[in-house]
Amino acid sequence: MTDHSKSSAFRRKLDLAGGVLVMTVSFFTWLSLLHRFNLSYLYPFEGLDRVLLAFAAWLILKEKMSRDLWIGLILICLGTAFVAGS
Amino acid sequence: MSSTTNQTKSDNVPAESEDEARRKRKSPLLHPYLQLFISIILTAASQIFLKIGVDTQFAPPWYTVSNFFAYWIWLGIFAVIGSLFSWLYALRSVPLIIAYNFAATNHIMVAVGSWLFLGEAISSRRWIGVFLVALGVFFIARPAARAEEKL
Repeated sequence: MTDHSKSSAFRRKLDLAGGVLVMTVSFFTWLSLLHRFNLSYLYPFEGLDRVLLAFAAWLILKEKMSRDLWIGLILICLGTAFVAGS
Repeated sequence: MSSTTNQTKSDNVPAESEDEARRKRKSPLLHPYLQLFISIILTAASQIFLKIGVDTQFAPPWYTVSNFFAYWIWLGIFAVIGSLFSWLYALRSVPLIIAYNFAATNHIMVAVGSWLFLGEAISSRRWIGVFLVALGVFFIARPAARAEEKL
């Protein structure tokens, strides 16, 4: 785990501001996508964020993938593929 | 010395029973599982509000002045904030793993909502996809809860 107590208060504020900025961008991106697609088509793709997160944790943070996690990721990808082809 | 007395004092305090917790609650609305349910409903509702707002009130460049008065979109934003608060409230007493399992139904809620309220036609292939995604999120609940507990 990262030791947050060592990072300076300024650094933490910067991280927070970065997080808010990224979330704002993602919100407006989501709105423009909603403008173009049906909600029932678009929403399942939101499940892919967990896939990205898990792979990032696996590759960058070197976390271990459990069997349940693999099953879940494969099901999400499969489901999204079904929705994409519908 | 003082730390040891503090230790024994806190040990002597009996754990709050479920009955006591219920009596302390001022309103039945604050039941944690009801709040969890409200949180999930609000998350799905926010998506539907946003979709209605984008379809009826939103003009493409996001900085267009009229966009700031699009009340459906504001409603969606407030629903997201409300769902976050009730989620955090529920997590004070609901185990994380159970909360995550409930949250997996979100994908189904959104699909049912867009079928009922937005009149979207959902093919059987899309239903299968939605259920597979929900099942996948359900499987991920356990590893996700374990990762969150570490934080």
